[in-house]
Amino acid sequence: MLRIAVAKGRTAKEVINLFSSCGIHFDDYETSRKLILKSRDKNIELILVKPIDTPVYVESGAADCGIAGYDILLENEANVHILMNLNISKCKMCVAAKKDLSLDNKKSLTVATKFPNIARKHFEKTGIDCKIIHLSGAIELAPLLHMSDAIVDIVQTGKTLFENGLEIKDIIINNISACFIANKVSLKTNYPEIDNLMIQLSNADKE
Amino acid sequence: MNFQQKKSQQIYIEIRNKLMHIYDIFGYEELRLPLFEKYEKYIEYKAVSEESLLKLIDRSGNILVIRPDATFHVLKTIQNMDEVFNRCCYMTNVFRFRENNFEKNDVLQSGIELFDSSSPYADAEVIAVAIESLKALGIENIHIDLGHSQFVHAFLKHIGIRSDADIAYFHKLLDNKNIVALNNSLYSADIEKKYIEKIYDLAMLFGSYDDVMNKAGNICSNAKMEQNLVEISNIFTALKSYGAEKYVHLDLGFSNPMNYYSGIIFKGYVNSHGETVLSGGRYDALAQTFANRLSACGFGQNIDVTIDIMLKKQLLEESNNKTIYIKGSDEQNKALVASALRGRNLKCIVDFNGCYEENVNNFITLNVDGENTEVKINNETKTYKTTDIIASKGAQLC
Repeated sequence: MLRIAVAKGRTAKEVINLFSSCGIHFDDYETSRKLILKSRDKNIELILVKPIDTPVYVESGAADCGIAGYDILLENEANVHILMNLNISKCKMCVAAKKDLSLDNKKSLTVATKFPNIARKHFEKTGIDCKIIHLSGAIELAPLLHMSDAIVDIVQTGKTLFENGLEIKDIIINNISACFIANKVSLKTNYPEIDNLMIQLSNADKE
Repeated sequence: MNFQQKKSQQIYIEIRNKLMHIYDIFGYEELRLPLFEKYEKYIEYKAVSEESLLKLIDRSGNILVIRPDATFHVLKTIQNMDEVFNRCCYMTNVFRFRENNFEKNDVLQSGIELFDSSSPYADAEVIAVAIESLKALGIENIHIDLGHSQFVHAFLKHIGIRSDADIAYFHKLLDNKNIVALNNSLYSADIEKKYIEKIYDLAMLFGSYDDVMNKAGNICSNAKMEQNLVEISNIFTALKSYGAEKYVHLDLGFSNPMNYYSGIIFKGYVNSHGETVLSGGRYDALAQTFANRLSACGFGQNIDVTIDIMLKKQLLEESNNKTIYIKGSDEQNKALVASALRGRNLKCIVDFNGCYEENVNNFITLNVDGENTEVKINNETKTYKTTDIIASKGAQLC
C-alpha cells in the first residue's frame, strides 16, 4: 500500500479526478470528512493535509509520496524527490500591488507574502531592498490596509486580485503546477508501486 | 516517532554492545573522539554545511565547532596518535543545527573507518559490516544502495557543464531527482539534445545490479564513467564473498555536491521506514588532506533512526531479567533479603518511600513484614518465611 499526502481543498479535488481517470477511485471523498481515504482496491491511501505541510509528511517518511504545488516545494526546499509535473492546479507566482502604484522606480518595498523565501530571493536578485511581512492567508488585504506596498502570491485566474483592486506587476515563476513527490527511501523500497502509479498518472495526463 | 522511553539508557547500552561486538569481530578498535575542534580547521572540511555548524567561543576568542560529524574527528585523532590504526570505530553524539522540527540537533551515531586499503574487498568489507550491524540488531529487509560519487560528475563535465555553480546546481537537482526543475533548466542551458534524455535516465538509474548495469552502458559517455562502472562491478563481486550482495542495489544517480567522497557512496534503508539509517563511502582525498593517510572508506549509522525502526518493528524487547521490588515496613529484613537475592545475581530494588509501580509486567514484588514475606508473581501471592528466603537466596522465586 502506498500512502500519499495531498493538499486538501482544490488540489485534492483535482487529484481525485486525476486518479479516477486512471481507474483509481476514492469513494469516500464526496461523502465524508475523513482525513485518510482508502482507494477502492485498497492499494492507495490518501492523506489530506494542509498544503504547506505536504513536503513535511513526505520528507519525514510519514507518507511515501505526496502531491504538492511546486511553489511550496520551492519555498520549503524540501529534501524529497520531485519526480513529475502533474499539470493540475496550475498557477503562477507573482508580485502584485494596487493598480495606481508603480513599482518601476522603487528602491525599497514592504512585501506581504506566504512565501518569504521565494520573495526574499526574488528581490535580492532584482536588487530591491525589501522588508517582508509573513502572513498565512488573505494576503490581498495587506496593501489595502497600507500594511505593505506589494504582495508576493500565487495567482490562478487573477479574479481575487481584480476584485480587490490589485494587479500583477511582475511574474516570478510562470507555470507552477502540482508535482508528484516521493520520500527518498520510499522511492527505492516501494519502487515497483511508485513507478506503476507514475506511468498511470502520466498516461492520464496525455489524454 | 520520538524516543522518550524510561529505559532509553539501557536500550542504548544493549544496542551499543551488539554493534561494538560486530565491529570487534571485524577487527575495528574503538576511538574516543574530542567534542571540539577549531573552526579554522573545520572550514576546509566540506562534509557539513556552514549553516548547520554549532559554535562556541573560548576565552581567548577562538571559535570552536561542536562535533558535527564523527569522521573529521577520527581523522584528527588518528593523525595525532603514535600507533597506526587502520581500523577504527566509534559511537558518539554529533551536533548540528537543523531547521526542520522532526530531526534532532543531537544525534547518536556509530560507525567505522578503514584506512590504507583501496582494494574492492576493502569497500565490500565496510558494506558488509554495515549490513551485519543491522542484522545483529534483528533488523530485516535491509536495502543498501550503492553508487559512485564520480559518475554524475564525469557525466556533467562530459556534456559541457563547466562552471562550478552550474555543476553544483545540477548535482543538487540530480540528488533530489528533481525531474520538474531539470525540465525547466535543461532546455534553457546550452546542452546538446542527445544528452537531455540521458540526464533523465541518469537521475532514475537505480534498481537491481543487473538492471542498472545493463542500462548504464547506454549512458556512459567516456572512459572515466566506464572506469567507475568497473569499480562498482569489482565491489559487487567482492560482496558475494561476504554474502552481502543480496542486500545491495545500485543507484548511479547518487551525487556528491560537496565533493566529499572520491569513490563509492552507499546508503542503507530498511523497508517501510522513510529515513536513511546509515550512509558511507570512500573518501581518499580527505584522508590524505587531513590525516596523511593513503585512503579511507567508512560509514556512519544513525542510532536514533535505528531505534525508531526497532520500535516500529517491535525489536526492543524488555530484558528477561526480572526486577524484584522489595517493599514492606521491616527495613532491616528488606535489606537482608535484598542482599541475599543479589547473591544470586538477581536485580533487586528496595523500596523506601512506597512509590514503586505496582502494575508492571516482569516485576516480582516482595512484601517483607517481619517473619513472613509475601511474594507476588503474575498476580499470584504466596507467603514464605523471611529467614527461608534469606537462607536459600531466593530459590523460591526462580
